[in-house]
Amino acid sequence: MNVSVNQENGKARLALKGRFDFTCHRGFKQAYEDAFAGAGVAEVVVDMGEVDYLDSSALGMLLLLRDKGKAMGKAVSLANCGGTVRDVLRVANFDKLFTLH
Amino acid sequence: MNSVRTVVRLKALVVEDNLAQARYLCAILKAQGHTALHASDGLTALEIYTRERPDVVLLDYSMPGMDGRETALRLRQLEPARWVPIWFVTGNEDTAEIADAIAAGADAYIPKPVNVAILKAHLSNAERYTAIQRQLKAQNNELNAYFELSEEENRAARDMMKRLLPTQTEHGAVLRTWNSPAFKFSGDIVMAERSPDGSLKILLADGVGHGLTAALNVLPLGRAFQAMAQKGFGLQALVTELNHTIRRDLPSHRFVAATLISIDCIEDRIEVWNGGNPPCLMFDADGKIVKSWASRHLPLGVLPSEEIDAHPEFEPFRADAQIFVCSDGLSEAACNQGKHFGENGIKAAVEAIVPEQRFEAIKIAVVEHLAGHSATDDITYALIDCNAEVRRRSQRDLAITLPQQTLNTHSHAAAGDWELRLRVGAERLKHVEVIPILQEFMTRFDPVGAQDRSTFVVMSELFNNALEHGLLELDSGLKAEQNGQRSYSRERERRLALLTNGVILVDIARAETVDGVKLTVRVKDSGKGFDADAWHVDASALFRRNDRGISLVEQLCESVEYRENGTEIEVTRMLPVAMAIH
Repeated sequence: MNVSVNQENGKARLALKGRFDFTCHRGFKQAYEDAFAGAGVAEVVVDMGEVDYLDSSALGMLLLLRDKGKAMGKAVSLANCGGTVRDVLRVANFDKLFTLH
Repeated sequence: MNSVRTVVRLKALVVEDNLAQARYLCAILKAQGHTALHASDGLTALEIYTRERPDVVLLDYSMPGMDGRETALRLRQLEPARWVPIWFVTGNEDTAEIADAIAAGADAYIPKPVNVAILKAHLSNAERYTAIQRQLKAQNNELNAYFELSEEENRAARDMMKRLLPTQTEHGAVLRTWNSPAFKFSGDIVMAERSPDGSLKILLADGVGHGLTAALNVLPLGRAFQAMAQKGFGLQALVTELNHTIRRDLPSHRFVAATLISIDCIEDRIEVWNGGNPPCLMFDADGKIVKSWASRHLPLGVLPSEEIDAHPEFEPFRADAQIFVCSDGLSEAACNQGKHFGENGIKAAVEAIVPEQRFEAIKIAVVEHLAGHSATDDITYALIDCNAEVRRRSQRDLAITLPQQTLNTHSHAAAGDWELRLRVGAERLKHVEVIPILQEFMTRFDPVGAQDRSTFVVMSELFNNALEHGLLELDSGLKAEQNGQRSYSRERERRLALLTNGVILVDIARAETVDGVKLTVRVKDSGKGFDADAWHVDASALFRRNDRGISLVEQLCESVEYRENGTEIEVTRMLPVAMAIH
């Protein structure tokens, strides 16, 4: 999976592309740690628009991201969750944990 | 020219019928720090090779008997797994023969008379090549050792898991399960346990990930689920406790999707809690889906205990129904075109199939759908047959209403006399399930007596009566109405949450008398009470089924006394010698 980080107006945007599964652990963690470390970043947005597959390990990684956000006192949200991504999040009721744009 | 220091000591085999030549070659080899072996003909060469396994072979091309070419061919056949450099040494300048020699398997051709510098250069290459070979072999051995160790550990882990997560084969026709792991270990489990009140609790859990790490995620649930269900805890308490267990025992990104089900054909009630799994389905007699319990909650281990919504959904029990529960491995099983099996797959598999064959039908349908493709996730499903549950219960029912047997105090002699007095106020009543705790107490103080299901039923009934009728002032008549069970439960919950005052006193005493072991249970509540006689007459109207409630208590006890306007009930029960089996 490709992860690219962009910062704009106090928001760090993590754009994910491809399969979000257990192999992405390190890359994803590095990306959000970098994002949170960015100067003036008040919110981290994970753009799932180009994610074509999401498994339970990915949900676990989102939980870690959420924990990190809380620890840093910064907001975390998910954007462009469509199709299978939305279905998986819904079954797990993660829409109760995250703000979905 | 500086001589190259030998880093790798080679074992060389010189195959040469000319002794002077042989001695010359061996001398050069030894001067380079290598070991030299000599064979004067092909056959001896094969023999020595087999014994010594040299690193390089210097072969004279033209020898009497078995010539160099044939020797080379035969040498290659001896050890196909290892490629040993074979160098032809020959005075022959016929290029056709040289080409043929190389084609025969020679790695180099060294002309005679042998030039020492050329030979040294070849040896240098051979050293490098051999060093790599030896390293590869060592790594291979290490890998094999690791693999063996890993297999051994896997075997041990599998054994351990089997013991910690007991299978539920004793539930026979009531519950059938299929667990097909994607790898050696399945991260899914299905557990079932019968509660003392006769209800059956089922858990289907799916841990994050696959294989051993996933299986480890669900392990903590096994014991907790079993213990609590055996003690008689309800679904709500189970969910709360299991959530707490996962949160406590596992890191935050490891959660467990779970479906918890309780089927109670005595109380006519099905309860379902689904956190993160595909919908739990109920099929009717024709195989149509009449109810679907979708995941309304977060999986276990995500939310702290205070935030989790542990309330199950209620549904009346149906003797003609089957309940289907699965993990996402089944619904997401993909065929060659990438299409998911899904709910449609389940629907199609079950349509027009008789209840007894539906379990197999689903399995066949999934296997067909996968079409030889291997599943990427563990596939697990269970089918609960309500009809089988009713059949089972009618067989067991006799145990409750059998007349008391002749007594013999020996089996209880070790327990001795004891008395327990418990006083619980409104605040505690809201958060604690008292009966399982009493049951636990009984198990420790009187292990034999605690197995008596009738005693559990009596305690439960008296306590529930005190709480529901005494303090909450609920009307059992509600249960008899349509959807009554659900409305009753909801109302019970609502009133319990609002309860601020009230006390229930439970007094249990066990005494050994001349007639046997006598259990005295007294329950008193601080409610308004009722007119015992009037209420007694209406018992059959109040309770939908005569086998529950106070009328049942009266059947099971030697004596029943109502006092203080019905706010206090004291019963005595003689414990039987032969224990009823659950």
